[in-house]
Amino acid sequence: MMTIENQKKVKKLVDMRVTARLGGGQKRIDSQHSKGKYTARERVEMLLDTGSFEEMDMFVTHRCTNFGMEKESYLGDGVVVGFGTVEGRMVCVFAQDFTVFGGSLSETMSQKICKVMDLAMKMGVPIIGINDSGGARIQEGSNALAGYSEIFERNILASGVVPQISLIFGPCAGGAVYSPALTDFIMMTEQNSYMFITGPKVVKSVTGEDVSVDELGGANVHSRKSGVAHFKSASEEECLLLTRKLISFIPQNNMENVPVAECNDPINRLEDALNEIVPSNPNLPYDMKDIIRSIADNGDFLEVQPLYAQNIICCFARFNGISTGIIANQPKFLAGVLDCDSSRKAARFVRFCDAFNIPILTLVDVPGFLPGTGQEYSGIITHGAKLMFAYGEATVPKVTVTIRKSYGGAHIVMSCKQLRGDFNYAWPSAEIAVMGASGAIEVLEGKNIAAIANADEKAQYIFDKEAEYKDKFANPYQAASRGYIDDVIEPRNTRFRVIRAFQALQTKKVTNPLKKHDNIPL
Amino acid sequence: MGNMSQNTPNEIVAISLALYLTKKDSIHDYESNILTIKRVSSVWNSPVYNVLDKIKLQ
Repeated sequence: MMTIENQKKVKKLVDMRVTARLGGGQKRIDSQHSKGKYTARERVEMLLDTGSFEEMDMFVTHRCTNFGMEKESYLGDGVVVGFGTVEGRMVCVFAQDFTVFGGSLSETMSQKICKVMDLAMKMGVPIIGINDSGGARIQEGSNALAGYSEIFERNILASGVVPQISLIFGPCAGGAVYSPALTDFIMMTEQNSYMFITGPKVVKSVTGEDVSVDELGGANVHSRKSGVAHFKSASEEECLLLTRKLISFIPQNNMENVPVAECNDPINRLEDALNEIVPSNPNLPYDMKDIIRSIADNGDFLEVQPLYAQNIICCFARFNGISTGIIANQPKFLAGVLDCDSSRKAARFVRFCDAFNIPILTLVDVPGFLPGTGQEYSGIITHGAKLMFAYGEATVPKVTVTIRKSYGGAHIVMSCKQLRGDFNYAWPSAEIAVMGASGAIEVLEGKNIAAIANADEKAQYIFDKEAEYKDKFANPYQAASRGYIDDVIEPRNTRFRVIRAFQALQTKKVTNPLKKHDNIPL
Repeated sequence: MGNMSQNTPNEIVAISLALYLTKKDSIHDYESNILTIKRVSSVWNSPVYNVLDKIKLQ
């Protein structure tokens, strides 16, 4: 039986916990709810397996005495940190609490975040940060800035070691944006979340531009235009579920092999529809996602940046239960051409997969790089080189299937044999060449064409020469004859061939030359 | 097969279907579709050992 003295001590603990869980108080919790937002603890509870969360540093308070801050203090000081599980796998979490000083970052708050990040690095588990903060706590001066810097440094050191995921459920402005920006994935909710370096007022005063918060840094802008956000959700609940799904595809750290799920989809499933998916007319589009659905386990995949640079698809799927990253050109959008945005998008995804031992499947249907001053002035050379660099340095198993077009520099960039592609397959519909027929004949036969005066004869000559070119190069066999393509496969067999290739590559071992680090063209 | 005009429409449909199915079946590239490679857990390419290999080389 507990003594009265001990009962008092336990009661004090219980009371303090109750107080801490109230954050900035019931009034502010109600205000948060009225905006359609959950509190930090509610979010953490929804994210993690029921009852798995263990909170740390619940009783931490700030130490600031400037501007009357010593009179106002809350247990936990504006951030909830701790660890729990997602489908039984441990993760470390921090969630900024908007009910305490608007979630503003103090010295102690940053210390709490750093502590849980250090724990994640020690344990080799993912870090999930939920951002909902007005920015630095101004009363703390440079202490707040130092706090940010401590977090950023940890983001940088953890990059490529443990997966880092940022959820933006409220404001995230100024320097604060750099912590999410340094992480692997950023998720935003359509309502209430925004990210920008400088807000609309500063924009107005500096550039005279009138812009709303949403137009400047809302979820739509960052998921469609800037590419800053990797996922956009209609609600916080949806975003938290998406986070759980994302976690299911990725290993806990860079020393762990990819997660393997139970596979109840037959590995030898034949998809006859694939034999007819590529239109006879090479200029007609089709939906690459139909191919992904047909070959992945249960047709299930999780697309990253689905609204940004839609001419390339980056997604996670499973083959025979093994998590795999897929990069695929999308003929339905800009004919699947490679441009600055799609190159950057795919390069980052390839590097994430490589860092975390996730095998890569590349599905190719690319007519080339997008021409024009717009692209050249935006640095298509550098951005294209990023993707080539990412593929070339990747040491994870790499399987490539060329579906239709694979022309010129874009052919090289899209995980060709010479960029250390392990298995390069092609469908019979593949066209692997320096360029398309009309462009090639213009170059090869330009003088002869110009010499023909009669228009009908000219058209016939061009038609014949293009037919000759297509006969030579609009197929996979010229490349296969040189061993650049390992095999030509019937489309309906693709699922089995991809699975067997990855199974064969499960013991692949390749190391890159020793170096301090590479110098990827950023 | 003789003169097609002597066949009833149903017979023509049946013959066409048979021809189609025969042709359809004959154009496939049949594979074994048997996966004989077992899943293995080996230190050969373990990420940990890859890092250690690099350190050893230094």
